[in-house]
Amino acid sequence: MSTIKAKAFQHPSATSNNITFNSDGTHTVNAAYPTTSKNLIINGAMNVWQRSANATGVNTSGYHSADRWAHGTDDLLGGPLGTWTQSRSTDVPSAQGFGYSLKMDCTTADASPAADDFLLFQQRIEGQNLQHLLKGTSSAKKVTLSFWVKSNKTGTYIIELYDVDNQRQISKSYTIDSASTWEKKEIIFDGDTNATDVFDNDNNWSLGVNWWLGSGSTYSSGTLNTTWNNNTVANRAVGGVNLGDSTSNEWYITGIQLEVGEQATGFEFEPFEAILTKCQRYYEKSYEYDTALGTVTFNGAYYDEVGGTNYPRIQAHYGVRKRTRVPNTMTIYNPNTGTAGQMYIWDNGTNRNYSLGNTRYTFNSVSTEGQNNAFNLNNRAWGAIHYAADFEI
Amino acid sequence: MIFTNAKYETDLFTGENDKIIVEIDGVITFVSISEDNWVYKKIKKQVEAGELTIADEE
Repeated sequence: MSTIKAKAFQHPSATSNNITFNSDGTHTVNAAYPTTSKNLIINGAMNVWQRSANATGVNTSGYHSADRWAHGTDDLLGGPLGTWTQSRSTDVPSAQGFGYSLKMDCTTADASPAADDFLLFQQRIEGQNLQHLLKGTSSAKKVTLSFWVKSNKTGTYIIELYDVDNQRQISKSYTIDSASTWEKKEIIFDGDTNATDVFDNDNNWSLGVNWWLGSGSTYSSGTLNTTWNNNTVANRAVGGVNLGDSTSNEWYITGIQLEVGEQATGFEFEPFEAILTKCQRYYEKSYEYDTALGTVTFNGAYYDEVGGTNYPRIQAHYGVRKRTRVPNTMTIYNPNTGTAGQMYIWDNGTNRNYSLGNTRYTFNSVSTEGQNNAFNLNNRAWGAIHYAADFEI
Repeated sequence: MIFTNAKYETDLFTGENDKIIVEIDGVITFVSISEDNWVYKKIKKQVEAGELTIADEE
C-alpha cells in the first residue's frame, strides 16, 4: 500500500478545487449538488406503510397504502380507470438493498377508458422544499428521476412533472422492455427557465411527480410535451400503455429518487425512523405502526382524566409537531370497540362507549366530548381515544 | 373515497362552520373546511356535481 500526497484535485477547466485536502487529515468537497437529503421524494424505497400494507378495491383518488404515494384517478368526470389492489411486496430488484416495492394489481379492468379517465401514481412535493431548483429563473436546474420498475405489461409509459403553482408541465416516456423483469430507469428533466414561473415558497403542493398508467383521449390525443410548457391537457400522456386493460396486469415500483442534476446517483438509504418522521408530517395515527385503524386495542391510545357533568371530555396532544396546518381529516376511534366516531369512558368500573359530541382540533391537539349521557362528575373516571389525522397536500 | 351522510359542524368558540362530519367509506370522519384540503376539495366537487348534499348542523 502506498499513499498519494496531494493538496487538491481540480478539473483542468475549473478555476477552483473540486476536492481540497486539509492538513489535519480532513477534506472538503465542492459539491455541485446536495450529498445528503438529496432525494426530493419521501418514502421512495416504500419503507413506511402507516395506512395499510394491503389496500383492496382502490378505485378513487387519494392515499390508500404506502405513505406519501397517491392514487390518482377520475372520481367524477369519467369514472375510475380500473380497480386495484395496492400492496407492500417483497419482490424487489436483486442485491440493490431495497426491502419492499409497491405493487399495483389490476382487479377490475377497463380496456376502453372513457375520454376523461386516467390513472396516476403520484407524489406531491411542497414548494418550500423545491426552492433550490431555481425554477422560473435563467439558472433553473435540471433534475434526474431514477427508479426501479417491473411489469408483465411491456411498452411505453409516461412520466410527468406538473407545476401546480403555474399550471405548467413536462412529460417524458420510458419503456418497460422485458416482461416481469426489474429494470432501472433514469430520466432527466430540463429546468424551467421561463421567467416568473417559480414555485411558491410555502407548505402547499407545488410539484406533482406523476407516473401515468393509463388515460383516455382527453390526456393523450395531442403530441407529448417534452419541454416545460403551459399545460395543454391533450399533450400530457400521449403514447402510453393502459395498464388497466387486463386483470392480469401488475406493476411494481421502488427505489424512487428525484435529485438535482443530470446524473442519477446512488439511492439515498435512510433509517426507518427518519423516513417515518418525514411521513408523519403528512399522516399520523395513535395506533401502533402495524395496527390497523379500528382495531380493538388500548395500545397507543390517548388517556385523559374525564371531567364535565353530562359531557365527558378528552384531550390529546399529538406526539409530533411538524406541521403548520390543521388536519385535512380527523378520525377518532373508541379503543374499547374500534368504532369510529366514539370515545371510551371508564366510569367507576363501568365501561361506557359514547358517541362524539363537540370536537375541536388544531395542528397538534384534539379535544372531544361525549354526547349527553348523564355522566356524573363525581365519579372516578377516565377516558381514551385513538385518532388518525391526515395532513397530506 | 365514498362520501355519505355529510353535515356541517359549528365550532363552539367561533360559531362558524369549520368542519364537516361525513362518513368516508363508511367511517365517521371530521373534514376541515379549507381550500388547501384535498379531501374537502373532493367533497366540494361532488356537491357541485349534485352527487352529495351537506346538511346543516342539527
